[in-house]
Amino acid sequence: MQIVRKKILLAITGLSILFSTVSCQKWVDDTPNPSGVDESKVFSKEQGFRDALNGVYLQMGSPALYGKDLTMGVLSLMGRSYDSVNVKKISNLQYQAAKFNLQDQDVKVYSASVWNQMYQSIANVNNVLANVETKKDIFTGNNYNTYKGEALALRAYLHFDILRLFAPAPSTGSLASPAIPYVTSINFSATPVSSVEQVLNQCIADLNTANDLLDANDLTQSQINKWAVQGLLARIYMYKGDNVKASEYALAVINSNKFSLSNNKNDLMFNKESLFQLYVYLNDFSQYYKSLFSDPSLLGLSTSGQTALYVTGNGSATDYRKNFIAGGATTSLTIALQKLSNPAGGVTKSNVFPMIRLTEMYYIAAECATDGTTGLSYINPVRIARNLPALTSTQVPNLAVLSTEILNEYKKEFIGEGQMFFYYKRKNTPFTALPFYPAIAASPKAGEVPVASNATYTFVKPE
Amino acid sequence: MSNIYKILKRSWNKGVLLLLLLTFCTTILFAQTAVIRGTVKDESGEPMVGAVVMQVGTKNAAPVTKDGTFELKNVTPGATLQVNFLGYKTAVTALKSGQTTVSFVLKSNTIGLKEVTVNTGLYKRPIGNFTGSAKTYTGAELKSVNPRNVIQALSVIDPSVRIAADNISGSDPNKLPNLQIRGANNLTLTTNTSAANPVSNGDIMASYLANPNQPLIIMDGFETTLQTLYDMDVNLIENITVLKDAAATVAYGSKAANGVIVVDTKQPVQGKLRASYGINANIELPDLTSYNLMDAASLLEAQRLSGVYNDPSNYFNDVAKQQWYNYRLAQVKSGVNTYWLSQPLQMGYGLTHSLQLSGGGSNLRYSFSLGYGNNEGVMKGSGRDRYSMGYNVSYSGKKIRVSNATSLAYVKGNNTPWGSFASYSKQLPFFRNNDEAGNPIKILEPNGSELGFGSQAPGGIFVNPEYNSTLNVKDYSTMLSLTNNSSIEWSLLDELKLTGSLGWSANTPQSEAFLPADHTSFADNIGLMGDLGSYQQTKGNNNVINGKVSLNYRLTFGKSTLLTAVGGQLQKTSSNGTTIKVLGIPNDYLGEIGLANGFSYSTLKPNTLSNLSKSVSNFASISYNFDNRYTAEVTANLSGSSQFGAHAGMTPFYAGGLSWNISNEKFFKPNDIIQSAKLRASIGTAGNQNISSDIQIYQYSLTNNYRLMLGSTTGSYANPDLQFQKTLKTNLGLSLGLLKGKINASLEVYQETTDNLILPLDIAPSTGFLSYRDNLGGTQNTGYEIGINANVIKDAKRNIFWTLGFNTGHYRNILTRLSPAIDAINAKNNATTDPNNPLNGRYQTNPLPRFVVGQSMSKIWAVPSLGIDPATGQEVFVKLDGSRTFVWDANDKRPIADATAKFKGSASSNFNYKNFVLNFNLMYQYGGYMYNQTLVDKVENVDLLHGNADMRVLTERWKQPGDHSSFKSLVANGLNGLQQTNATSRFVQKDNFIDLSSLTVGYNFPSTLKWVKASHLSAPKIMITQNNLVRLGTIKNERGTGYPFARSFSFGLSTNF
Repeated sequence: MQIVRKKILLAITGLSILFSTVSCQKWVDDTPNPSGVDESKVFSKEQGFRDALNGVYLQMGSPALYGKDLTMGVLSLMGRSYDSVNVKKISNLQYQAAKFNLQDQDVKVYSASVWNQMYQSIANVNNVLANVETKKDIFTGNNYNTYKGEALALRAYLHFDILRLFAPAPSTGSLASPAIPYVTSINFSATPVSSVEQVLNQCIADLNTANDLLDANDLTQSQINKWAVQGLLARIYMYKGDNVKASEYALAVINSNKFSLSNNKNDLMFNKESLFQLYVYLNDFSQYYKSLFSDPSLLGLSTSGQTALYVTGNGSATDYRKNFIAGGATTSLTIALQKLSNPAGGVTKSNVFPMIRLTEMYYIAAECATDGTTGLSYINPVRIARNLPALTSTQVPNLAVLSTEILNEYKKEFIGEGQMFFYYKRKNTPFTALPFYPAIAASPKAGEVPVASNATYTFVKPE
Repeated sequence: MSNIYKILKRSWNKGVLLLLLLTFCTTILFAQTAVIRGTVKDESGEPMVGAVVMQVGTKNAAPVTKDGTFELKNVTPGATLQVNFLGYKTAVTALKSGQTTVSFVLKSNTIGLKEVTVNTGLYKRPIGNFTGSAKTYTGAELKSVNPRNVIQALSVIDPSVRIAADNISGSDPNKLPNLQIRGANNLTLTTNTSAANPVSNGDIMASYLANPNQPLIIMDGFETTLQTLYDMDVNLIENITVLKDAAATVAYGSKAANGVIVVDTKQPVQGKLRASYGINANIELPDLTSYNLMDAASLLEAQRLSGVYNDPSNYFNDVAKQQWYNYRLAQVKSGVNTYWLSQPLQMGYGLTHSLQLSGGGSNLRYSFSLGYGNNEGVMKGSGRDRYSMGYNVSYSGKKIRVSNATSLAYVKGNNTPWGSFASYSKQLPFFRNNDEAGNPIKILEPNGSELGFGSQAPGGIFVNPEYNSTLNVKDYSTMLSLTNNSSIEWSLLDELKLTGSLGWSANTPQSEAFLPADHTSFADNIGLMGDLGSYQQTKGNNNVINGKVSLNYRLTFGKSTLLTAVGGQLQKTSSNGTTIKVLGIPNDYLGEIGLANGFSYSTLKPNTLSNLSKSVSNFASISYNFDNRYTAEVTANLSGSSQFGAHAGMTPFYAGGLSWNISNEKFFKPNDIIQSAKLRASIGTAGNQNISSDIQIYQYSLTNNYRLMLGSTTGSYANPDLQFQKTLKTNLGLSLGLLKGKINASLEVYQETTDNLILPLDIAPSTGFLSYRDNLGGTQNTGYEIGINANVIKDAKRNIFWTLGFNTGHYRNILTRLSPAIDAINAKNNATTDPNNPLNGRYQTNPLPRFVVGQSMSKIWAVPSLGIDPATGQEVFVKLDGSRTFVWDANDKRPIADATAKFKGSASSNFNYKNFVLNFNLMYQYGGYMYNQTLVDKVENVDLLHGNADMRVLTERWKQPGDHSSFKSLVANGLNGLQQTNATSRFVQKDNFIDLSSLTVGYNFPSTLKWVKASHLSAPKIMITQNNLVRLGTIKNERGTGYPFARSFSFGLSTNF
């Protein structure tokens, strides 16, 4: 009887141990998903964090985002970089965007895809940030700081561009108006909408943390680094209207001497000036490039437009940047944006977009200058590096002329990069003052692009 | 351990001694014995042949003879006699002095012999201690209904088991049925269209994902797939139990919401080596009675009326089309009138052999089975071949029983090389199918330039699907499966038993589809030669490992019986399948995947589907019975699965049941009407885990890299809080035995409520995701089932038996809660263009589902119609505000009727006369509605330019003002014969039918026959079964559009050696 009892007891204990909730739960939870890689596996090694951040860079290179439309596509059309806009040859989205008709259905669909994809990248960044904290133990060296800083900086970069697209510019007195949600966690409940000022402050807060975390000697341009963070801070303060802070960060980047101006035309992208540049997968890039600049769209700047931009006024035919564009003698010829392609011929190699550049720091410093001489002292180094004569104080007698010169430099420098849209929006430039605005609004001539009656700088939010 | 035995032995010995002493004393005292004669009958007066009468305490016993009498000699006066008979209560009588005749009346155990215990697959329980709703059918019963398809047979005899009608696949032998028990608990958000090789998957998870309402299938204690049951040899089945309510199924926890089907295979029987052999030959005949297509002349006329042969906008085209009309008219005049329907059809023959050997001593027993089946379908070249082999060895020691069973099965399903049946019903009859030599013509019409006409033929190039049958087309799927189950039973005490089992099964599904370059599907492809011909191959493997341990305890004290079962189960399933499709195989003898040109440039890539899931399920069940009157049962289950959110953890499920055996109460006086009555009630929850897993997944970018580094992103939000779907089931049951066992009736009323249905929910895109899944919806099924069995004639003397059975059931489905995301689905279903395929112009021609709280999922939504306006031939619709219009608008849709029937069930009759057997089963449905899709598609939604249509297109459509017709006019609207009718109430029709689903005639050869004796056979019999013989219905629709329905006729012979 004793033995029987023992046996029974043993059997029952065995059973209860075997099926105890804790061990079962563990066994069940430890199930990798074979058709994708389970989150816990990705973040079990340091490499996984790099993979996940690369994933975000790859998402940013998609055609709706910086791979095409937020750079050389839609935003360059809205930034009025091209004068060969033909309603019959380009898509309705491109044409309506060039007209600033953001209420158009195609533009709305595009806006929604930008919104969705940007926030999807942000969700990926947030998941990296969540895991960086929980897996803090696995990092070696300075990697914890690097990944966390990079992720925070990316989060600010993406939010700031969503803000610039979907909310009114602060120069219109909109600091308090509702803007976009600033999402900091991965969750299915929607983050409430913040005001323009709140979003800017959150961007600044994230960037400040990133600035503290990132290593000043890491100059990897293909990833957001400490200097890109400071450049971005300068850009944000500029947008916000805080010239003191903007100038402070712009000068910090310039004076760090980590990056220097290019002074030849061997590399029209001026790669070494990029604080942060995004690589787009080459095959995709060629396809995006062709879709804009080859038949049938044939976007670009005509010969007369090139002359007007680079030679007329205080320009010169020797400006290296005039080589940005080739062809265009007749309308049927392809106008190659050589800046984005290899000067040696064809679309090769240069599958890269500058996201933030050293020259912008010089321009910000110039714009924030309180007197013309100081302003000129920041513009002239860029002009000299671009093979142009320095401007003299007789040519630029006051801040108003300085501001025009800065605008001209922006137009020359950032053609096809999408930055001009943001410049016009920041300045709240009247639509009539935009390039290629029809001299007679009712009957636009070739090369002129009319502006819709309901034109606006603010894209339509899908939610 | 041995102590207890000694004690028992001692007391037993004492008892025997005492008894012997008593007997001795009485013998001495009276010293004389008597012969006792008497009768043994049951309550209805039937003689109990085979019962044994014995004197208590002695070995003196006598059998009851044919006429129900017995004669027991050497009976001590005053002794106690008892009669034992399986299935009946033991009757005991003490003899009075001098009494020499006794008549016994045996009372039935209230339950039939076959229902002595209920096997839930996890534990067995005597019916008296069981409060759930379960029904058990023997293999023989199922075989007599349908000897070739167990699932079909089950749906005929059990009203709660339903197979969704599939008008597209008809009697395709390679199409698995869509099975449900007591209605659906899930929304069907996507309609699963059948792929080329639908039955290639033996994967448990995959088959659930394909049909989330599919019940759990347990075979010999282990989960298995629907396909395994579908391909199973019916001769191996001992019985099948259908578990319906929570009390019966809750031990399965998270898998039990859809009900459970428990299959027990035959176990080796002790004794001399016995062999049984069965052969079944069958014939399948295509059923074309519901087709009424136009002949060549009528079709040409209908085409002309609908404007196929003129073009008012372009004179040149008009002339060319007239030329084509004249050309085709000449063909018709020359007598071409091809009956395409019969071309791909055949009489399908099938042959099944089944051999079982079994035997062994009291310790070691074994059985071995071999099976082969070959069933041809009614489409030429289609069929299903099955091979199976299995053995079962068991050893029973004093306290330990060990068994091991292995089965190996191979199934090959051939799809017809002739193509879809629809391509024949559509084909234009004014084309010749064969040339003079009798070979199929590939392109059915010369092209325009050959004939000198100014345009191509209206409708383009017509190809002959028959041509493909001359090619070396491959289209088949195979599956090899191996299963091994072992179990150990260890009796720790007489009342305590520990059972452990381990099951392992591996399947390797494979499918091949080869279309050579000459196949008609490439006929209008002017692409590169390198892309002509295709080969698609799917190979996979899946494994299930399953371990179970359980402990059963039984305690009897006084009038109480307590049964306890505790157990746990771990299961791991993994599956993996890869599909590869290659293009460019010019010659049809190069039918190998490696001989192809390559992949296409961008679209085709290899595709691998992989799944791994683990689940844990623990249960405890206690049943208490007092005095055979009151029973209480409580079962709990704790389940966990890797498919659910990280926070879901282990989920508990509970169920309880009560039953009251009224007929055992003292106040229940024996009467002539009611002999037994038992009331049961149960309530509990069961889960459903038939969904794919939800884990935050990262996808690595396959084609792009970032500066030569890998990139990985996540694109969907995995809800860590996702919970098991739970269904609350309540069941109330009453079983009655009436008129002295002549009538048995049962009534079940049930309600199943699912509150946390998993549905997608659209979320703010600023979260980074567009939707996620959460427990957001609810459904409720309410229904009843009634079953009556009557023994009309039970005359053992003359060997005549006749039983009638009738059952009926109904359920009502209601959606109780939905997520806002359903609005988006509803909006898509109201859109004018197909969101999935913008080129599909006929999106609204069938009633798309709409999910609305308070409505049934099976409601048919259509725009109310007032019929055809006799003046114009146009249809008059009623808008939501009641106004009338000619314009159809999706927003005017209303719930017109419910597709679920008011009554649905079956009736059966089993008649035995001497050695003859005559059984039939009828299925019927009343009060359901159906959208007569085939009618509207064949009469109104016709594409006369490209295909044939129903005769009524010409005869019954509105033609001129004043015509009162139920079909609107043909319109020559320049769309070249394309007519369209969107979902309208006009085609919502009553769907009542009676279907003679089986008719069996059999003969049992008496063992006294000379040839039976000479060939050492025992119990040889022949059975002839006919399935789907007659169907009477209110709807005459073209059944079987992709594959025709068939009537089958089978002839079976079986015997033992």
